[in-house]
Amino acid sequence: MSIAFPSTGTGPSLAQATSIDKEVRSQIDASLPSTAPGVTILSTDAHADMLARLPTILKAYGTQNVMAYDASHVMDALVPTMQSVIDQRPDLANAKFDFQTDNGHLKVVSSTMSAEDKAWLEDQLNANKALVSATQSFHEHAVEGYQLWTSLGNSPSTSIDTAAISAAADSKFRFMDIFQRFGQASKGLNQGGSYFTSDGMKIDFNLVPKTALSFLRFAKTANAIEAGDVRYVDDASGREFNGALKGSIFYIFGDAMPEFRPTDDSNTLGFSARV
Amino acid sequence: MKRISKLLVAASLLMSSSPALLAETTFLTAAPYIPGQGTSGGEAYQHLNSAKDIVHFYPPMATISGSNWEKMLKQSRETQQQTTFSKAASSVAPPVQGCYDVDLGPIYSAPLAPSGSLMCFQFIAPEATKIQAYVANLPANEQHNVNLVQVNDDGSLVYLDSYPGTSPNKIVEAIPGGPVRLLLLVESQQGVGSSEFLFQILGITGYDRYEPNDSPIHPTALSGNQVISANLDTAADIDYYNITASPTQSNNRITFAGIGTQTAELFTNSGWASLASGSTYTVSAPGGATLSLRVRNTSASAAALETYTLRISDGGGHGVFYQMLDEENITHLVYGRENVARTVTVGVNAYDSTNNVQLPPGEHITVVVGDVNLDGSLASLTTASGYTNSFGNLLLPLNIGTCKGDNTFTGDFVSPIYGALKITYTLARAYAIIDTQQDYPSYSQHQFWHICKEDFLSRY
Repeated sequence: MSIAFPSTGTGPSLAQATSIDKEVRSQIDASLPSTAPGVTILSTDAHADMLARLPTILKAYGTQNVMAYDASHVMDALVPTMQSVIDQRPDLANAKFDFQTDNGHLKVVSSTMSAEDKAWLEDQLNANKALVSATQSFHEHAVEGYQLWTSLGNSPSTSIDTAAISAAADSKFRFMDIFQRFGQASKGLNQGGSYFTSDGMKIDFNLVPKTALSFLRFAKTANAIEAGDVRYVDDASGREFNGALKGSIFYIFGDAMPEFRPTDDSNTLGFSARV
Repeated sequence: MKRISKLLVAASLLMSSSPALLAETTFLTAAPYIPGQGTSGGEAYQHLNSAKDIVHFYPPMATISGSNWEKMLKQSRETQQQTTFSKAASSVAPPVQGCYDVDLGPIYSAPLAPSGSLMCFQFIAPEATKIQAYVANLPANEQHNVNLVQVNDDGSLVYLDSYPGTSPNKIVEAIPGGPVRLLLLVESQQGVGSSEFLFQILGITGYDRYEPNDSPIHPTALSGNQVISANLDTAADIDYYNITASPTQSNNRITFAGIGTQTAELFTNSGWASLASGSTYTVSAPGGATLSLRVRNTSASAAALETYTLRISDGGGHGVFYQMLDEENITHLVYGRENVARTVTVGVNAYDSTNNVQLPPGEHITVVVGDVNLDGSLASLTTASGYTNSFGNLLLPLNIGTCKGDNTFTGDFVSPIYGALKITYTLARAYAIIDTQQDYPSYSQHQFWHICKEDFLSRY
């Protein structure tokens, strides 16, 4: 397409024109693609949109802490079974294992235990109704939390099959791993001195529960901290303080719980690192 | 009527540093149509299209592929390519043999050179002037490259801008370090020549630092997190920008603030869409996509040099706490976290979805604070928001008040300074959230001890 300079017809004549820049740019624009696929203006008021979603956003954010609270119940419920395991099968006291929910039951995961030992331990865990109930509560909150996240999505396609979320939650969370995370998070409490339980045991904050025995040490420490029944001895002065450390490590370090949420750039099940 | 044939005289003014090159170089040039001098009305321009008005230079034209122009241009492109500001020549180079003198402003018409040769026009670019050359009516489906070239006083050439391809209409532009001699070269890679094209060279002062960007072909590149202040240097100015975000940035926040009839337009899946001044838009695009945006005046009578601002940020970013400064006289004896009573000044800044790039000033951040209940839920204390300053930071004074959480602790604490105290406290959490329409908003959280009560028991 040509620009009508000079022109004797309907277009502007040179006499009228002082510039051809607009026409040139217009023609260049016309020659370029007319649309940019995938580029969409969503809204002009993201603040209002965010505020409208804020209650759900906060509830979704808080899921991590609710699950941490559930994990503390799992820990409490697991204690008698682990004591029983050590009593009945002392040979398994130091066997490394983990366990997870599996469609309503508990499944033992171990790369070192025999199939028979795993089956036996699995039976012990599933026979503990309080433990199964606590793990199910954890699982349900994980699924509910994921669904909260999906409800925040702007796209209708964010709805995901509940069974798929449930299966993903089964697969993602292993409880001994969760205990290890909280054990490591509590290391930050050990600053400038030492803590002792009421029976004189020095609290070891470097807890890595991987076996029945190490789990019981972890649970004892966590319960002592929660009860506030600890004595702190300051390294510098040697002075002793009571009650300075109190509270559930699952409560204090709730952000140690791994997140379970959709990824930002897809509507598929996935996990993103907390930022 | 002024004629460019004076270039024939200029042909004898070979540049001393490169006589051999120029002696071997031949051009096909043409007499332009020039604005009439002293004429009026419809006779202001006279269309001179007879054969006698076409000036041919001898010896006959050489092909571009064999010319020294190509060598010089190629070398220039490889070693000195500049598309914006060029180094100022220490003095203006003498006229180039075989190039027509043209002026800034008039509209010229000239015949095309046949395939393998070029037309050359020269002019002096004044100091601090944006040079734009508009070329129109090149034959469709023929390749004609338009180049803007600076001639230095030592005879070397600096390639400033180029618009290759078969488009019939082209723009080349640059801001040379004037005064300096520039050449407008219209190369013919195809065609038999002789058909006429139009061109006009404009010189504009008062440009901003993001110029030249009047061509959609050569927009100014912006990042996905940037604030700029620019201007439309004339009523006819159009500023084109390409915004290239990181691969993780699929939600882009764009705010345009202009004056009068200034308007910003974003190239979307439905074409150019206007962005109202003062509004912030969330633009969804594939991660890493390049967004095209332009700013122009809708009125031809708009004042020159009126400024506007553009802000682009990652809508998938998140706030980050860097300060939780308690404002009250408390002991801060509870271990492990900041101790905060009823009032606190939080410091927050914001980062993009890569966690590496700070979001530009003007980010709106909302901070929500609550005590953490035993079951993990939040007992809300306060919600407030503000905009980040020129350093990208937001300092937000908050009155969080007294404890509301259902899980408080009481312990004895002793210090040589404060003595023995019984302190009641609870865990509190603050979230920082940017304005976002992301499906799954990112956030950061910060936990602290909310001090409910401090009772003095005894001296140390």
